[in-house]
Amino acid sequence: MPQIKNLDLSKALKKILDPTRIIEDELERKLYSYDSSFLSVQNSYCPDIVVIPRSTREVSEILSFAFENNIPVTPRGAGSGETCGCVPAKGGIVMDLSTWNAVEEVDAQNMQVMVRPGIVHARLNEHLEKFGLFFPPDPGSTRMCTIGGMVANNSSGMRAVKYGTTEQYILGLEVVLPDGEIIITGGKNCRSLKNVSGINLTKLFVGSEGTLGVITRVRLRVWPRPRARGIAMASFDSLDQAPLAVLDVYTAGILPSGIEILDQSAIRAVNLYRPEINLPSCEAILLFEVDGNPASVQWEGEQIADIMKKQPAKVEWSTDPQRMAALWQGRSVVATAAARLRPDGTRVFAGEDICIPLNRVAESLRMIKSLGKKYQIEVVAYGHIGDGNIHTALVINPDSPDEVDRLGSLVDQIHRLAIDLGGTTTGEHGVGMVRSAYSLLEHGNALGQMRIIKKALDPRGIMNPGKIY
Amino acid sequence: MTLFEKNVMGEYLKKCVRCGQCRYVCPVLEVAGRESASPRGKVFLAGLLQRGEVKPGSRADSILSLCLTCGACAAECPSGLPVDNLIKAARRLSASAFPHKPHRIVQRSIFSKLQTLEKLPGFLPLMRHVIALKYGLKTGIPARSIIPAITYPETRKPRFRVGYFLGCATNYILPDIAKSVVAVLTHLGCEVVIPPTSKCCGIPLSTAGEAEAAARLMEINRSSFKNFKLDAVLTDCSSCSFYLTENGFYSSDSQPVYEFSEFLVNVLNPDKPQIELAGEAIACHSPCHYRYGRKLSHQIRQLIDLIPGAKVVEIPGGNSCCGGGGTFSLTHSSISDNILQRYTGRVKSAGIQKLTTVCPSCIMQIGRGLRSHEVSVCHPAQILNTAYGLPD
Repeated sequence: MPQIKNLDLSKALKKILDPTRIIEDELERKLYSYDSSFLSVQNSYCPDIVVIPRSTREVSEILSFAFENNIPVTPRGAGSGETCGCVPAKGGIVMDLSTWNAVEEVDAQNMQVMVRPGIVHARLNEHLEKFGLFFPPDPGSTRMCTIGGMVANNSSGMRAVKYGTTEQYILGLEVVLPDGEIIITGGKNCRSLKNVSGINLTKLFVGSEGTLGVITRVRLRVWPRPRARGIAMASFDSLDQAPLAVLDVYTAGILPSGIEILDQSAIRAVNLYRPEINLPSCEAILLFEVDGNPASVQWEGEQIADIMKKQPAKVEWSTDPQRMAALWQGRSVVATAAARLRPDGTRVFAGEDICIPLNRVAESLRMIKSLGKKYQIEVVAYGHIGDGNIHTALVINPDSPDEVDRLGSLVDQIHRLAIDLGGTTTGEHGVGMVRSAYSLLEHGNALGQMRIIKKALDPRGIMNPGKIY
Repeated sequence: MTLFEKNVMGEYLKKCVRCGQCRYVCPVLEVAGRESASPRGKVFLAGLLQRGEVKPGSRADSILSLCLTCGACAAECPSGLPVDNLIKAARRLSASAFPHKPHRIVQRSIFSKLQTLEKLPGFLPLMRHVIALKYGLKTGIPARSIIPAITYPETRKPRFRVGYFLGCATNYILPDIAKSVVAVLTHLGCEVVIPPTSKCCGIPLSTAGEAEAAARLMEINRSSFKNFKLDAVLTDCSSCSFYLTENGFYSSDSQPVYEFSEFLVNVLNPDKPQIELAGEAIACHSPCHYRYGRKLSHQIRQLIDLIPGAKVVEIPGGNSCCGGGGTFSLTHSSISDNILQRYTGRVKSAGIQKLTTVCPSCIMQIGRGLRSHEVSVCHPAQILNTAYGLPD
């Protein structure tokens, strides 16, 4: 907790940055008390003050001041996270980095780009399009999340099957450490695409959820845009068939750029929200996206259609940009469209991001559905089945205390189930406050080593306290 | 049931998952750069007010005022929430808690009783002075004073008898638009009726949270037009068109209160004008209430394409909000200017010589931003007026 009064806090911060970028007003501070998690609906985590820095020097001076006075600092991007990762669990300073969003340099010849943390993912890719480049990780929250948030949570998304997660694209970071020191990871003047010199500090900060320092600049690797894309939509009469069909595609030597699943409830939700997408009514749909050159896209599309006949599944193959956009949009709206299934309900983000070994996905889907029945809560399953990352949208009436109680039990069961099956409680959204209770169960004594690292870099524990460890 | 009922508002608010996708399209957030300027922040605040966790007051008013009500957020929301209307509903909670604050009384009086106020000595001169100062515009005599209540086509039996909803900005500030609208419509064979008792459409009051006062205006307008047997009602302003269509100008009919370009393209199917335009590069600006409110897209462009020699140029980076937002440009001039400059910067870079749009507020705002660059900003009715060779 802050050791100094808010008045002094404000006075000191005003010496560092323009007062118009400091928020003291109580009501305005409340607007920094939430993210997208249900936990932040149930509880309010209000900062003592909010700052909006615009330079590395400002961030450094703020941290240096906070370090000296033992004041918690919580970095915040767009606040689109689902784990309370960016809310100030212990009060103190919230650092709003969401509009510090410059693309400082596109070094097209060296296939890399330098950005400030607040640039929104879709905005970056719009910018890169002019250069024939793209940043491949593709979160469903592309029009919400910032690159800084993606780095801090090692986010991924629908194309992780082929392109992997954010960490594979981070060549280097500028980070301000809790005591205000500024470091550059990945080589201080480096523009090379590979670098194994020294301990990989870049990877230490990727996914550290703002608990080790503040990321102020990101050197990202970017790729040439594929020349063609196609989507095969396979519809199954039985949910069990879908995970098996995914394994069949891999066995045939095909690596789609994305493989997404929608269960029966998810299909219903999409059709309620966007009837024009007109998804077939069945137990499960798989969307296989393939990309590359036009000939290989066509060939892979035909192969996938052949493989699907085995299950059997009906297949729609499309390279029409409009239809592809509609199908992909259908997938991306499920996250919130799930609320349509219940007029008095809403989709809550809790227990929504488990990742399961591929050979146990079918089993996990069955078990989750039966848990939903047990706790009488609608479970909408969808997500990145290609890497076993299943999103479970839980639809409840948040005004009903009984439902909220049942939700708590169901979420706990889902998290434990994921660990029991050899998976994890989170594939891409992170730990934050929502999943820290499972850290020991997931990592055993490795958690102790994480705490040692945290203590070494942040001896006073000011960086985003109350998360992960 | 309306959104203004507290429980209905609560049901909508419950469905906001605070994902933040609305932030992506919000012109105010882009400039102001803080959560209080984002639609999500204001929806969160609406929830606090609706549940009684925060009391209405000047701080809440100040945050809620940071919205142009452009509707981009509602079109973007994955949960399908009417985000702009939720913000208006929150403003209403505040307005109904303090209905007698001086600025509220003034606001209600101005928009409810403009036709009475204009008769007061000094009122019109004062308005002219403010408009000249802010927008560099010389306002003439109000359109209603010079255009008859009914204008007949000169040469033929009317094809349609149309009601012309003459909005406040056109009437008092840009009366030439009204003259062109009437001239073009009559040229195309319409009998044009401007009901003398019609008033402000109500959108400025509704936007300010004055739902009851706005509803009273709607009632007056409805009965003003009902007295005439009309085939359709249209307006030169996309905001009036949006507001009247959405808020029950027709109690049971699904027919819209047409926006001018929509009426010409979708209903009248106008002849090709004879007079050629001298190759000016023209850009078509789609106002927010035209795009997001009425969900129109191609009608302005289609009208300009009719004109021989017209060279339509795309605005680099596409259409954006101009930052006008009715009175927003007066109450939040710094944010409004910043939004405007980002947009006009793109217009200037494309060598555009003329910009046309169907909203008087956009015309005033963009016109102010492009004044020093000699780009003329006008209504498509004015371009058609010239192209048909009609008297100015």
